[in-house]
Amino acid sequence: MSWDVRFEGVTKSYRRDGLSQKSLRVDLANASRRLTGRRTLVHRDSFNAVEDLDIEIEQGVPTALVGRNGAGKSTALRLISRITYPTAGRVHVRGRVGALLEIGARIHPELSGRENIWLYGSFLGIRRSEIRVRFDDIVEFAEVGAFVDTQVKHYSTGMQLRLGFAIAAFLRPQVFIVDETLAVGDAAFQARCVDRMRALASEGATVVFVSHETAAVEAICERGIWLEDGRLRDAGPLDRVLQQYHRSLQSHRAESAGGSHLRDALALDGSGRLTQTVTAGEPVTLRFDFETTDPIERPNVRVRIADTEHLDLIETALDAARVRRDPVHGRWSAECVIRSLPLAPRGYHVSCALEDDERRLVDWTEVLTLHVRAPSASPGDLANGFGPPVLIDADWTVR
Amino acid sequence: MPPHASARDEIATFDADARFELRASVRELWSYREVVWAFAARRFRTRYKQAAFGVGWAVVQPLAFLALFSTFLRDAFETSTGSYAAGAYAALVGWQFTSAAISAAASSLINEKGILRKVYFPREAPILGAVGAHLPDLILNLGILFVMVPILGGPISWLWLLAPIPSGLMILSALAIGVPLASLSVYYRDFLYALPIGVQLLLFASPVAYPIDQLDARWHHLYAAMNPLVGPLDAFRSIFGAGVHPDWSVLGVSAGSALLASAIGYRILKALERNMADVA
Repeated sequence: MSWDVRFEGVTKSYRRDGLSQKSLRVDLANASRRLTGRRTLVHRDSFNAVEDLDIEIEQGVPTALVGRNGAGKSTALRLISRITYPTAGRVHVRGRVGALLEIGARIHPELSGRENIWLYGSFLGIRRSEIRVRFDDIVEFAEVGAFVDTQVKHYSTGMQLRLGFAIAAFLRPQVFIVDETLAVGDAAFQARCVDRMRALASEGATVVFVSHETAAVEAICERGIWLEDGRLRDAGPLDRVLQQYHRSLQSHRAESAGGSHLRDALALDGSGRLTQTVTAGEPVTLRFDFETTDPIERPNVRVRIADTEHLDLIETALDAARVRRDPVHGRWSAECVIRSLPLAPRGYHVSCALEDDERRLVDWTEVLTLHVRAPSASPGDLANGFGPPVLIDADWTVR
Repeated sequence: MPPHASARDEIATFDADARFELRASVRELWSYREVVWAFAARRFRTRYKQAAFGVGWAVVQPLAFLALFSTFLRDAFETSTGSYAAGAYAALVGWQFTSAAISAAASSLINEKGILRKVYFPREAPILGAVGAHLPDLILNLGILFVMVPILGGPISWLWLLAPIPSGLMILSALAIGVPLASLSVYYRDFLYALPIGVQLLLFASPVAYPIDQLDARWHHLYAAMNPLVGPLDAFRSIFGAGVHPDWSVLGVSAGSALLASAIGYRILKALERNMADVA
């Protein structure tokens, strides 16, 4: 079998704290060291998002990347789509890559649907004649019909998602990448996406899929690649990889020694259904299951919600609510009911930490990915995914 | 033919140790020419979008400066040949384009950071697009220049047809300054904040308000080497203000200096572009 994507000893490091005066000093020193052929300095706060990774994704075989948050899946996808470059090693990719890494990722809000199709077609290096041939298919799949000449910022999240998917999927990519975005669409659209991805695969394209929705992964993929802490843990038939991955998730939750650990974290929608897709403005319950061996006098659970860039937007904590904090031990749960989810439609990360009055018992960990979708009947501004992330419930009067 | 046959055989390799290759880079840029065009077209469309006076603003600036210069500087720089006002207006048209193109180029990557972080394209594309979006302004201003020169007392001359040569050098100079600034400011915004100061200083360091004759002739070449704008601005002045041939050797020195600076700037871009999506 020949491959469409191959990683050879690929490492990608990032700087934890971004850029600052200090990093400028190191950068300037390194620039002069490079000119004089001396060894360059290492930024002290850098970490490897993927480390010495060797993987092959076979041609025409739909493949899922699985792993916990922060395992390096997104970095791997960014490397395949050439958005970022490896720090060490080589990435080989055969043919044209179509990527849908975020809702609206390929979409420019100020331009119309039509202009976006042309613009992104040219980003993919596709000739105008070829885009012309595919144009109607894209418009039809995206169901934007009459709105094709409307600025995309007036589209609903669903329309943006459909347009983004259609552009990426219909311009005949050899490698097609989809990262957790489908969850935001409605069920009918998801089903059509699955069909389209299967069709691409049967035409010989290689689909690479990342999703926390096991059902969607199983519907599309044949092989799995499991990443952990930026390294390859296992690769092979999807059933086997998923099984082992899920087993490790359970044992990981149980194994942390002594004191307290988080067993599970889940989100429930207004009707109490377990889900990772919730609706803006509707109630959401976040539940954190802990296991504690030594009793905690006054436990405090803190929760943060961050955007996909890991910028914290919201924090709420048990000790801020005016409830009695009783001692806990054994298996216990903390439930946080958000009466009206104040977040605009897109993806978010939920982290949690456990403390008592003296110290941190469970450090901040990312525990959940939440996909927020627009309420079915929402005015344009809420529905478009480009506004600020936090929504408030405000009363207005005009006199 | 299977649907993906055309794209199938090409393997792209992203190698951490890959060296810069000029030919490969230029070939790739050529294959992305429509992206350059898309950036330019979009930038041009959005630039005067909510301005009632529209592209007229491109014409106002040189005229306003001309009024200023003519009022205060005419006597100080009275030239032996040709008209001060016609020459100054020609230099202002050139300066207006170059300074606007430098500023647009320098901020182009930051402006496109949303796309930069999500899609691959050669990073020179938005910079070239930003400069290209100012070309219509230059052409419009050159047209107005043709009308204004006789009004301002300048000669009508066949040498006007030489205008594309200094214009091309202005584009090259704008890129030579704009490309490295755009690349560096993706990492450190300080370069963007320093830009307006730099552009203002450059105005005084270039022969816009004053003719190059203010300097002793033996310094002309050194001046043209240190500031690539000297050659083309002086050529505009000669062609339109006096109707004489530009000083070709000064123009040549500036061209060499602009080429060298462009080459350095391009290398800076290529060295920095790989991690731009991570820090933008």
